[in-house]
Amino acid sequence: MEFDFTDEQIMLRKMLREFTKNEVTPRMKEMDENGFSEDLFKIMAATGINDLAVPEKYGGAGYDYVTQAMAIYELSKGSPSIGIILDAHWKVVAQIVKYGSEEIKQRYLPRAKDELFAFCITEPAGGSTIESNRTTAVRTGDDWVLNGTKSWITNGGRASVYVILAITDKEQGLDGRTTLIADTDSPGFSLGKLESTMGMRGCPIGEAIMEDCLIPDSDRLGEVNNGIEIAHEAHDTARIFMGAIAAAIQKTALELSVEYAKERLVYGKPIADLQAIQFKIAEMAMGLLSTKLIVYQSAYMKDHDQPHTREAATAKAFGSQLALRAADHAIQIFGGYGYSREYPVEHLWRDAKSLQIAEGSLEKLHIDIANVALSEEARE
Amino acid sequence: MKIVVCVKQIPLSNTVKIDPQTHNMVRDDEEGRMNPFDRNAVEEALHLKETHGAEVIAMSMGPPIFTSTLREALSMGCDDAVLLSSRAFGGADTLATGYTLSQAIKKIGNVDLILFGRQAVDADTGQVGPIVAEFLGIPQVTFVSSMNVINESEIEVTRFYDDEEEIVETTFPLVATVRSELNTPRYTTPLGIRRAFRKEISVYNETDIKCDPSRIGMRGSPTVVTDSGHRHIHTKKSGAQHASVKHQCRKSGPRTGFHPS
Repeated sequence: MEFDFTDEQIMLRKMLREFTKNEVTPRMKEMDENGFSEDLFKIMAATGINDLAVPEKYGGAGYDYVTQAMAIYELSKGSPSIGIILDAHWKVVAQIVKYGSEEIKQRYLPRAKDELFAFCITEPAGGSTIESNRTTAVRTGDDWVLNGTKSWITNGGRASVYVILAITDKEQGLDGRTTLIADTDSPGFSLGKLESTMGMRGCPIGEAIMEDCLIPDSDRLGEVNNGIEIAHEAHDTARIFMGAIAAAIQKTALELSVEYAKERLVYGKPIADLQAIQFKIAEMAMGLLSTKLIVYQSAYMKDHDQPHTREAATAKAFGSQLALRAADHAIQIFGGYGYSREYPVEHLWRDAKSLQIAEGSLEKLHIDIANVALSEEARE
Repeated sequence: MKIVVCVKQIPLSNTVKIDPQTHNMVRDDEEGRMNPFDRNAVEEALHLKETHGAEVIAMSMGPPIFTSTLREALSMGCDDAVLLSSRAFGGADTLATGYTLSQAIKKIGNVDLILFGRQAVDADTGQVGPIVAEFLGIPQVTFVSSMNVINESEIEVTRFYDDEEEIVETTFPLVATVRSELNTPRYTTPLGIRRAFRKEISVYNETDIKCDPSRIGMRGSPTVVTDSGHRHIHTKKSGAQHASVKHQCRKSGPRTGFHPS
């Protein structure tokens, strides 16, 4: 068993830390107030961060999932919103790499450097329950005609490539779904309203509307009626990354709390001397350590083509609870200042909350994990 | 154009640890970093490569862990990297280091430009660049804040010190030590890092670069540190750096210094 990063990963981490310190952290507050940072996205493109997950053959750096998770962790320390943007972006890259035809790979993967990708599953009628989806795709000649609305799309409104899960055979239920790739300029494709969210405000979240939207069959991702497998794979990928964001929130909460607790005096002594504070610090440190372990384990399993649905779900479910708790502890340690928007800890709390809802709600993940535990597959 | 950029790996932390017995710096940091001024030197070399076409070779002298700084130079875009590493090089002062580097530069051959950071922020001497120029018998310009290549054989260089600028027109081959005002070093990129780890770093020892054994390592180092005092690198005033360079100029002078064996 190997727990160490390679020298190459360590150098990349060093570069990402420097980049985060110089470029991401200084824009955290600005993104919380004004939303997506075009400026930062351009710098990330120029620095080769946006496409580090794209195979070298298609212009990227071709880093594996462990390294991608590490990158999301490092950048999210500066801004969890950047983590979410890359999470949604790279989960599409991952599915194009796995399921895309050579033509699709050549056409779309090089665009991952300067453009954003998005995966569209949720609809106004239901989020975690794919069963309630209504968007349909009907084959006519060489094209598919799509009709429906996708909502709560991470990167929605700003992305230019949208992978859409649509019903292609109603009789087959979940086995009658197909994923198709739409472009913002696909005929009949339009963008709807943008959400104004509580946290992760640097990440655009929007709607996509398909009205007799025409997608050529050559832009079909994977086999016809295999969409659910691809959607599940996308969820698994994203949940690992969300675990990495959860770890980053804990790391920031812990670091800020330690710094503050050592400085803030009560009765002439730093509050770090009080056990009530120390217990919170210890909880945060334990949470961070365990979240990182499960994130890297699930990324490792993905890299080695091992089933990792349970591990990825755990990284997100467990990690997001610990992240919210760590942010909560940080606010408590900071006291009134923690509740003030002038200090960065309340912001962490709002960001952490999103990790319990997006990409499969906390409740949905508990059910998924319980199903694995209760099934025959629960062996070891 | 062929450019050699000399880079030094310095400790990750800003605190310089001194061995109380030998008064030498303790280098026990596993993870080091590139001397900040050397990053400006690498950036300038890469800029010249992009604007005028050049082959850029990064060079360092030190133990095998110094490869990480050479990898960083490669991942920024340098074409090749050379590490001068041998037990025989150990304990070198600035004179022995300058001699060793100049021998390696001779081995590479036909080098037009040799770039250094103006000084390393751990030892703060700023001497190695000028010493290399003396050993090679070529012009040197220190504290460079701008470079403008005129043609294949001429270059205009601005030196900046004590709030004054001096514009120097000189010829290749040339040694230049650069300031941070010269440019903004680029980030390494994920793809650059990926490619850097596929490259071989050449390691030269004393035999490879044909050294006179009496001029390298401890034997070739007349300097003995008798007292290091207690200081942190960021508390030093800039005036002191200038003084040390003036002292260097007086001591070695143009063309009258050390001659290659």
